[in-house]
Amino acid sequence: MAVKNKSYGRVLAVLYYIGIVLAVLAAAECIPLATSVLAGETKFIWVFTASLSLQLLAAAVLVLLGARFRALRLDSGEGMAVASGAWLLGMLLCALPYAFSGNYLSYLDACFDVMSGLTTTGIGMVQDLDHLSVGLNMWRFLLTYIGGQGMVVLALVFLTKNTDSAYKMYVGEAKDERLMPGAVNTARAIWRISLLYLAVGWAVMAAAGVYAGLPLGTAVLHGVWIFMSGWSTGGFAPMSQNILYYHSFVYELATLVFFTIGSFNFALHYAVLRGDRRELRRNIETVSFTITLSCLSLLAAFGLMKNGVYPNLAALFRKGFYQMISGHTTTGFMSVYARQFYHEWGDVALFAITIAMLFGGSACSTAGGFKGLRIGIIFKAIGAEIRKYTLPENRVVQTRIHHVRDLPLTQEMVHSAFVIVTLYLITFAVGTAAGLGAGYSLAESAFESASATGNVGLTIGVTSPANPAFLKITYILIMWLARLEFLSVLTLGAKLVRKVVKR
Amino acid sequence: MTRKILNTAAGLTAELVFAGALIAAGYLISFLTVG
Repeated sequence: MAVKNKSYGRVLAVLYYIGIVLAVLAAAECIPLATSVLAGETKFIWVFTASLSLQLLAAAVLVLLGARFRALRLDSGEGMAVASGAWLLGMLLCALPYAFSGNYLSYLDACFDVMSGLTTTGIGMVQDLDHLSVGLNMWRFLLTYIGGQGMVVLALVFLTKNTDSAYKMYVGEAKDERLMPGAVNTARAIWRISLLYLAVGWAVMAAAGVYAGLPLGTAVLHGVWIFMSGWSTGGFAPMSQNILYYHSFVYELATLVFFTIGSFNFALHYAVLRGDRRELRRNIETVSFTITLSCLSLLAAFGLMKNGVYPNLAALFRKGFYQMISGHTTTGFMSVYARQFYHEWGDVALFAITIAMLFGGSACSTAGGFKGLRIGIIFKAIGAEIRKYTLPENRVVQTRIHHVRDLPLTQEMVHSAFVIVTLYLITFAVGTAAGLGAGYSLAESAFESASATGNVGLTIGVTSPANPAFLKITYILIMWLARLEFLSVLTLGAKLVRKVVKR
Repeated sequence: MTRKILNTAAGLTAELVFAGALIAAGYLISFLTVG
């Protein structure tokens, strides 16, 4: 009986922390509520008030249930369960304003859009995007911004103590860099960096909007939304034509700069902002990203030129390279129409961009995909393996990588990189099979699956409200699994299965 | 404090320049392919 009570208390402690995360998300909803008040959107004032009340109620129930056990030290599995549970319940609750708005055909579509935003993917199910309310748009982009940094990371900012449990939850959200001693300090450092860039990026994007011909008010609003989406490598835009809507080279360039920087590791930002600028050239992730981006861009450009798709420099750069770097950083901003990928790009360019989407940005960043760190480690390990057979047998060479500091390449690093990349590949295969099952071609299914698996958001035109429910649910699960890098969600699943089997 | 602000400003500039260099590389690749 005592063992049972202990286990019961631990479950309630997990629920307590999930409740804290949900309460922080509910508090964040005050921003779109205030936006709707300022914009005079009466209907949306009610939509947000009702949703906010329900979210706070759910959070309060969980916090009150678990408050007695909050002092328990969470183990790694429980930290992961907090992260994955918070993301799942967060999706269900954050979808309420969408569901009440009338802009979604079903609650499932609303959940899809929330998961897409929170995981910074950017494929959507919204109806009539071009006439969405200002408040609801603010909620979409705010969710992307919060999801990019991490909702658990945001909740940690408000904790007062650097507890061991805090670190376990931080790791559960697929962020394992310690920028500072303690998870709470690290979370605060991550948000300081993001807010610093928000100030700079908002100003630049608003200026670019005015230059592109937008009225000042629209330029300011679109500026903050596009920055939040770009920095978080999200891919949502306030207009259905995405970045193509602005028809401006300057606007495209500004987005390119911010989403590229947004895909960098927070440990890299932290090192560079503290004065170690050489890190930009030496870090294994920037080196790996530069090499893979160059090779894949060259391959895509070759494929596009072979098909005569973009025959001049301006078109090849603004259409070809823009989609390529947008895919590789897992942003998903588009300056072409979705069906152009399928009808114009050709197999070679589609192959290159699909690989780029799977490779993704940096670890501990807002980006998705395998991550540059793992690509770098795998290539280093392959190099070391080849050297082992080409050098004299008595010669021992230690392979090192540079990531903020010089580190020896260990078996554990290589093992972990291969495990996670394998899980990404399995997920990609499942997503592709689901697309095929829904009647799409192999190229379409693989492209869209890579986009969901890499949390990218580029679309070839597969994702739509007309999709069968099983495909929507598959993509939701893929986005959730991939964003949390599998282990948290798998741990939560294993814990639930074990509980059921024990009964 | 001044040193911290200067470091942050220099770091921001360095990241912007690095991102600019990556974009310039993309422009060069496009240029060479078209050429």
